[in-house]
Amino acid sequence: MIKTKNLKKVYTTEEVETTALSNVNLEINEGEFVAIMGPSGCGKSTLLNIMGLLDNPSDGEYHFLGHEISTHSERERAQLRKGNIGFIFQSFNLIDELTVFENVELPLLYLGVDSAERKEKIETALDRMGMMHRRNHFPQQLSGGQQQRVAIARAVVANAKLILADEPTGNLDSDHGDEVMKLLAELNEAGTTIVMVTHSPHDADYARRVIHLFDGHVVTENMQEGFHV
Amino acid sequence: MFENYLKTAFRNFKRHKSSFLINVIGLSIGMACSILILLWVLDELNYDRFHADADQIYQVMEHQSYSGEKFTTQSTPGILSEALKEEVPEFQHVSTYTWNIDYLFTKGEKSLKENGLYAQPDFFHILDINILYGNRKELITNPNSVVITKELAEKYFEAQNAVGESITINGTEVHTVTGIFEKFPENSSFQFDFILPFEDWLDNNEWATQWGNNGPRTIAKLYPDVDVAALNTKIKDFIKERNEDSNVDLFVYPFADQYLYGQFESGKVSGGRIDYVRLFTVVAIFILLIACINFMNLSTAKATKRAKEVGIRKSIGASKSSLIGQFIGESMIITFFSLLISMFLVELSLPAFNDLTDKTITVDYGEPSLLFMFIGTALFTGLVAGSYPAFYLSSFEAVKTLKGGLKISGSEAFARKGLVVFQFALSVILIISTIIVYQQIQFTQTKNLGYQKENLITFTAEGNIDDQWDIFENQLLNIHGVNSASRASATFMGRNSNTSGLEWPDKDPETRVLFENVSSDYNLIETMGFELLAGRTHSEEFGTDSARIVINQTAANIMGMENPVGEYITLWDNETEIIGLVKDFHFQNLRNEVEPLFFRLAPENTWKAYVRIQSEDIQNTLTEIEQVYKQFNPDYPFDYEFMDEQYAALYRSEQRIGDLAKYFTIFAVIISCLGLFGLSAFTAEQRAKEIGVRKVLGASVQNLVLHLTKDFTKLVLIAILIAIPVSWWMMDKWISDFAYNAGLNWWVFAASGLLAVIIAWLTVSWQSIKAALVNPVQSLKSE
Repeated sequence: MIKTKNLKKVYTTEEVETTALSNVNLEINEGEFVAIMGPSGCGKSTLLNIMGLLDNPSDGEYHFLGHEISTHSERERAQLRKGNIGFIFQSFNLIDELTVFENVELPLLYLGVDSAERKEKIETALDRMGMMHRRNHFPQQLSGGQQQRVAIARAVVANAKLILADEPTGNLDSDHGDEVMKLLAELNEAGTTIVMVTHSPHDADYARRVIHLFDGHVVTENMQEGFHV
Repeated sequence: MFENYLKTAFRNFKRHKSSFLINVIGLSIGMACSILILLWVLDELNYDRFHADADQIYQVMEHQSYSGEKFTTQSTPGILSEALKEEVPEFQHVSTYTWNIDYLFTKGEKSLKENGLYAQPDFFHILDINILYGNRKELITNPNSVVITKELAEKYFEAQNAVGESITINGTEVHTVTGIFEKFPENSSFQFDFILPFEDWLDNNEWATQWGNNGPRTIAKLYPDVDVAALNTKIKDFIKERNEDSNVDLFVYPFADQYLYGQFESGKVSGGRIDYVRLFTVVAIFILLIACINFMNLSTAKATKRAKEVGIRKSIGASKSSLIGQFIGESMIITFFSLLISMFLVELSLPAFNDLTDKTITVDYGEPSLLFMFIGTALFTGLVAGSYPAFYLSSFEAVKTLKGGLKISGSEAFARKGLVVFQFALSVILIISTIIVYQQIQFTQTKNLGYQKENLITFTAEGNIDDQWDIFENQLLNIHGVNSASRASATFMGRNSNTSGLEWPDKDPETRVLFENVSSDYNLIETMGFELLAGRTHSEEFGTDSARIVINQTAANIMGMENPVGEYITLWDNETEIIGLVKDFHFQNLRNEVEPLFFRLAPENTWKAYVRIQSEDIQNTLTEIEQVYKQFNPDYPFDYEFMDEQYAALYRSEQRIGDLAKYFTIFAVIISCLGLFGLSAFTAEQRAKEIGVRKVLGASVQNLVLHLTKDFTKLVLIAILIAIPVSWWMMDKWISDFAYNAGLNWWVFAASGLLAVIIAWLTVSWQSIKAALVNPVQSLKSE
């Protein structure tokens, strides 16, 4: 599903050049649950953003679903992102002006799904996350855990093949965090590929493979033996 | 998807009520002002265009050459139409007609002054005159016929169809009504209530039958597809061929163009009302831009709050173009909502606006072109206001916005500051221009004209007063409040009659100078209060004064005479003595230089009476004058005017322009301030933490207010620096149209700048003080 070859990302400002990623070679297959770990500033989020087609690498190749996208334009990336990739953020990133239902509806709207089908899919997704009873609430009316569940519903509603989670439990207490991790594991069980950036070894235990980054390099890759279910 | 955009938009409006309100108020006032101006412009542009064959109707005009200068006039010889029709095949119809005249109409007990003119039968084939009753071909073919409007027919005959009835004009002439016509619509520069046969007029004005004399106007309808340029070449010397002394180049000019493009300079069109049409179109665009800038600034200032949404939508798969569409859509919702309010405001202010502009504009919502204008204004506004924020917001990178690390870039802050500067520069330009227009109006009203325009009344010397002037004058002088009375052929409010028939010793035979020719009765100069510099005025003591003239200083200068009194000149081939010299006085709008003038004793040519009265007990004096007037003219209404009021009316269009400019300036300033208010609120909010820190470190409220106001003050100062040269250039052009003007005073620019600074301070300080008074504990805890 994902294959990178000598992936490099350099940020340049007027004075400094910062290398966020250098020579990252990775392969992630469909159905995997991968955790990316490493200290702050090691390039975890940069890698995730490139994987999510939100950012372009400075050099190297990135293959996503068979497309070589390092040279894709923003428009082409947006096109490919639609329906294929779902995002989950540490700060949930729900639109404050939209209700739970409407937030989950967004990806389907951009995909042009018709209204009856949309309703069905949203309800299925909310049901799965146990958020149906909150469908008409606004994000500020929900707890953090609930907001993150809505965000997950939004990520999965269009049957995304890949879910990218950037510290999904970072803003949650441990009970709510566990809940969210369990949901992700369930999704993975059902076939969705998940790539998650995390600081927490506890969360990383849910993954089948852990990639350690340090200063933009992949340091180790471990297959987890006995992971949580 | 559209529904989703709508929801987002409305919930956003609800959440940010104050900026929504500022936008709606600004945009609706801005659009209402622009729509009013556009309605005015549309009305002006449609003037005289209602005639079916408007593009075939032409005014026959003259360029007259005087010593290298060209003077353009509508006056033509009274016999021009016949000759043109006979000899120039391009003319389909030609009619000579007179200027508008007030005549007394009497039917039974009813006796009133009506306004109309004399014309030839072709007149009805040139203009779109709707004949309600009567045979179009036989309307004014017979002497003593008259064609009147439906309104006059109803007034005098209590019936619309008055064909065949008779009516008395000017007390003695009995005319038969041969036709009833419909009055021209309001947007016609040409208005009249009756038409008399031109031949009747020509019988009493023999002078107009000569090729060398000009007076009546000539209008024509050309055959379709006539090459006008070629025609003008062909008829250029038409009059010279008939009068070898002539200095006239004849030409035709589109009739409908005269209203907007009626000013000529050196034989070329130099403008006219179109200048004001253009000016106000620019003002409309300015005001709309100012309102759009509010929208742009508030939207981009709030951008950090919308940035997250942009990031989320982008990460989900929204393309840049769909986001642009969404944001432009939002600005369209606001503008169309504001359009509804502005249409209401337009309806509300239309009566006052009509009053101000002396128009009768109505809004007909069934009229597609007007609806198009409304929607067009809103679309334009929505697009202009919405596109910058839309492109700006949609260009945010998802990665940065989602991390919350969006920083206001230097270029964005620069753009916002630039827009504020632009907005205030426009406002300051409007303020300066308005003050200068008012100053010039003030100047025209207070300028010493060279005579006393106060306590001087004037009316038409007609009926028995014309016949028995001396008796009438004596009776007037018996009234306690009357100082003196006289009459003249001039109104002193513009040129009335002029001649180039003056020859003087040492005159270059090539030169031709146009002198204003004032026929007068005894005591005119004394009654008007013109200042006699040398010699004497016409007097009964000297018997045959009719071959003697009094001239003004300009005339003396042109003739190169230092002591003109006693000199002899030739006037229309007669030897004439100059007996007096008067100081120059203004007998035209101050746009014009004082021109050479002479007074000739010719009571038979006069028609306008002037009576100098005392300043006490004016009402009583007027009543007594009216009593005397009625003894002579019992049927005539006593229509008098004060000279100073007549003079003020000369500047009515300037006064209107000034009033319009004033109101639009006020609105432009209000809209700018609204924007500044919103922006200062935003800045105060954004800097809450900074203010908290400064306060904790010991800054006083004054320190903080000054600190927060400083940035805005800088912007307004830059705006003033830009506005001053621009408005100087603009107003210098405007004011130099007046030969006599108040000039441009530096203090107007300084005062306008100061005013702008004060307004800006008042606007900004409210928010600054509010921000500075906040307890720092609150602002520091919130992060």
